[in-house]
Amino acid sequence: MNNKVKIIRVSKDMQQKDLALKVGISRQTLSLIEKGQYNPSLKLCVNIAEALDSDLNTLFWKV
Amino acid sequence: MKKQKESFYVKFIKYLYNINDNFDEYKRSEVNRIGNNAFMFLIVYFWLETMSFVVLVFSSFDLTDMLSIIFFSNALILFIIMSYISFSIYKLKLDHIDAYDDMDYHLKLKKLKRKSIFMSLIFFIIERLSTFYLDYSYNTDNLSLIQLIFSPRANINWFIGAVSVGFIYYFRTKSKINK
Repeated sequence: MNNKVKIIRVSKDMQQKDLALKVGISRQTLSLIEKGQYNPSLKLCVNIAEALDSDLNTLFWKV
Repeated sequence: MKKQKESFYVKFIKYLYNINDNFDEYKRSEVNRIGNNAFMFLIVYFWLETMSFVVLVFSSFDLTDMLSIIFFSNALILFIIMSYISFSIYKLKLDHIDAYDDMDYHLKLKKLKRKSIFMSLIFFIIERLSTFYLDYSYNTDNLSLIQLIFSPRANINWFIGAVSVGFIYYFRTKSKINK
């Protein structure tokens, strides 16, 4: 599933390891999500959106 | 984010699958997939094994031969399953550890050192107990219990073995820490 997680994260000048730590997942998992190779659960999507001060529409909807 | 305390079940899964770091939902889903594949393979094997057992019992096959065949086929299947799980975990890099900064890296190294020492100790104790039992069972030289327990040769050999196990574990796991 394509998403804008990487774009939003970079725009907030946040490193992958910082976001992973904030959300409570490994860097490997975050990397796979950003590449669209792993579909996260709704709960994880919400956690990522909260950590990036964003919302689900911006991050995951019609990318 | 505050790290939640892991349950015994999660700890056991991590130990069984050799997962070192955070057990997040991606790792959980992959472990589920690997576990399901292993289960399907095992259930087919056990079904075939039971059917073969019934057929062989009714064809008056020698019981000792039958048990030997079952033992070795079980050992082979266990080896295949363990190899499959290890290979899958290695391929997906689920056994890697994330270090977030230098302090975290050093903290993880410190924990790893403690764990390696503990592993060496456990290895030494288990090996010494099992070799002591074997020596005691086949005591052809009629040595006393004290002589068997405090045998310098056996103790030194297994001490070196235990230290090697600790070193191998330490360096193998250290290479999996992503800085």
